[in-house]
Amino acid sequence: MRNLFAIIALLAMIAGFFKPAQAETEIDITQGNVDPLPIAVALFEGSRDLQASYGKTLLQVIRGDLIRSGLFRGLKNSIFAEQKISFNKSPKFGIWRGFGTDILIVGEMKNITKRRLGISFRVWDIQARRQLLGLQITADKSNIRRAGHLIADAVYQRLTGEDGYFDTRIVYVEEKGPKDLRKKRLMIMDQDGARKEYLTDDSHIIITPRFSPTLQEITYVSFVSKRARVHLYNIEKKTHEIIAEFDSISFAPRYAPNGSTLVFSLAKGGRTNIYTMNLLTRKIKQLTDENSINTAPSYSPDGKYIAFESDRGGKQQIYVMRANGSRVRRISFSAGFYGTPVWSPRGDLIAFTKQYKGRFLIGVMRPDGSGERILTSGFHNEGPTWSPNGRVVIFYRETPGSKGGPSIWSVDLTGYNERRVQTGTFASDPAWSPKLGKGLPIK
Amino acid sequence: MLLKEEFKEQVQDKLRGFFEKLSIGVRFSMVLHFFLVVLSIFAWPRLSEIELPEPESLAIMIISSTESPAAKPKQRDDVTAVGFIQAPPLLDDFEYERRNSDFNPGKIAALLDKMPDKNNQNVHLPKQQLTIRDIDAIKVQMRRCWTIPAGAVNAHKLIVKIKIFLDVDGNMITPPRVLTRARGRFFRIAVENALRALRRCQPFKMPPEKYEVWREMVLIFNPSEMLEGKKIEG
Repeated sequence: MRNLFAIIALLAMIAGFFKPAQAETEIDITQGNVDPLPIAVALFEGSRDLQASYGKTLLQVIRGDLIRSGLFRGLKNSIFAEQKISFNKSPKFGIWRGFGTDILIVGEMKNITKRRLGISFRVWDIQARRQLLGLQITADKSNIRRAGHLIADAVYQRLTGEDGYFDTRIVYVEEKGPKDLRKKRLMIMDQDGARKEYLTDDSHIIITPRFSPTLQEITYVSFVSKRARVHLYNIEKKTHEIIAEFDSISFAPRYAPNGSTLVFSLAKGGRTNIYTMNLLTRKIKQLTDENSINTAPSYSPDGKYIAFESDRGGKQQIYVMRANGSRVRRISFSAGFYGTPVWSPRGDLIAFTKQYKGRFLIGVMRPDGSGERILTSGFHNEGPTWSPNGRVVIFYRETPGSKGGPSIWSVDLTGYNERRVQTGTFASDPAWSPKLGKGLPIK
Repeated sequence: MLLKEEFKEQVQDKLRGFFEKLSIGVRFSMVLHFFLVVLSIFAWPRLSEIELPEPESLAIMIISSTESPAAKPKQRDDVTAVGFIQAPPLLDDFEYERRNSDFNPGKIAALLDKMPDKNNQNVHLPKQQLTIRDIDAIKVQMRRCWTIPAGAVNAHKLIVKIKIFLDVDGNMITPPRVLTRARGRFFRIAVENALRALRRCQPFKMPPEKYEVWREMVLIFNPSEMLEGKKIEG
């Protein structure tokens, strides 16, 4: 009987502890920070040989990608050089918390065959004391950098929810020589600056290369004997094809999202209008027919609309029309001269250049023209192009003076994290490739 | 049959009567509106397809495609995923266990000691409230701890409500309870960011004399004001 009373008393105490709150204290938290998340990447475990041949490369690629994105900041390697990290054991969370780390990446490597390397990696959440992702992959030893980029993409996607953009390449125009006699060659490189390759020689002036969204193909324009030639370059086969020649082309072609149509503008008799060419039939269709300059067309990612620049209203502004040329409406209205609109692959923003009070600006606005924000401003900024996840814009800027020249820069869509893209020489007209593959699964 | 005929005649009579009462201007307006409606139903689709004339030959040369179009690249197999790997068992972490045990009878007994004694009628504690200053202090702490990736999408859909249970030192006694149901990968990330913020921020600096008010709190994380980005003047 006494036992029964004791149990009832205990239950009553526990019930008392869980009595319903009279008025719950609720607090709205609306301000945090957008500081980079502290992340530590350990050298992947494996034999000394594997660490020297591949481990160091993987570490450099993964750390470099994540930190350059501006969303993560690294720990000095010296801090955890003494830490014993074991891939098959959970980390000592208290110690890593003491270092100020929120995320720890560990991995291990194993030889599979002469050509293939096995890599496993884990992403640890130090604060939550749990593994966020654990994945095993195999990689070709001849291209370990690609494995590093794919791992960095998987980490990025797991921690931000957004698609990664590290498994991509950038094509641009390399410029060498004195300002009035520049030699221009088409160059391709990984987005982190590695594996640079020439795609053309310097015998002709070339401008504005663009990637196909679906194929391993680039389109660009070269000028030969004052004529403009439109080229297609197959990246896998390394072959060039000329598909058309024009008297004058005022804006080099861009691909439609389906990859089988090019859109561009042609000048004739003081007027410039927008045309499309079907790559299969080579048939040209005119989309605008105005007594003004209509140029720099860019498709929306669903292929239904085209943004372009026009001075039909008196000065350059941005317009949007249906892909068949109908329902044209203006979307830019503020002071300044607006140009070169580029629709984000995410569809939510259009990047543009603007000239205002003697300065060149690059900004973004929503497709209805609202929410205009400036990302960068200076002596000269031009040619914005988006990363495939719609988070980063790269562009080029010239420095003034006879010794000055163009260089490529990147900036977040938030305006933060502006940094120079290392190309080694003067460089202009960048274009960002789509992702090279589907990416690793993250569940 | 007859009924139908009669009905038809009655309707016609009524209509005739109706029209005769109207002025000429109104009759004309009705006919015009009728034509406009018919026109919009049948002619509109054609009006919106503006046929542009065939472009004059602007191209000097268009080269027909001799090659078949570049094929879609075969799936690159430089890197292939083999499979997911499970986490190893968690190591003992003494400090964590000491502070954050899910069930610690000592902790609960200590809490029960701090609850007001219902039987003691002589003690009437005045009902405490958190002042604006107290709330601001919490917000300042969270501002330092709550990190979200700049430029995240659809911020207004990422509101996360979490209930926390604190001891008198400001540490979480039990794991926080997420009150909003997660939908989609961005929401899951928003929940993880909020939980990370709470774990980073403990121990919360709170006025100990008001423990009764803040020992259980609901924090509502709403990032919509934050995600606009840097402002640069043009």
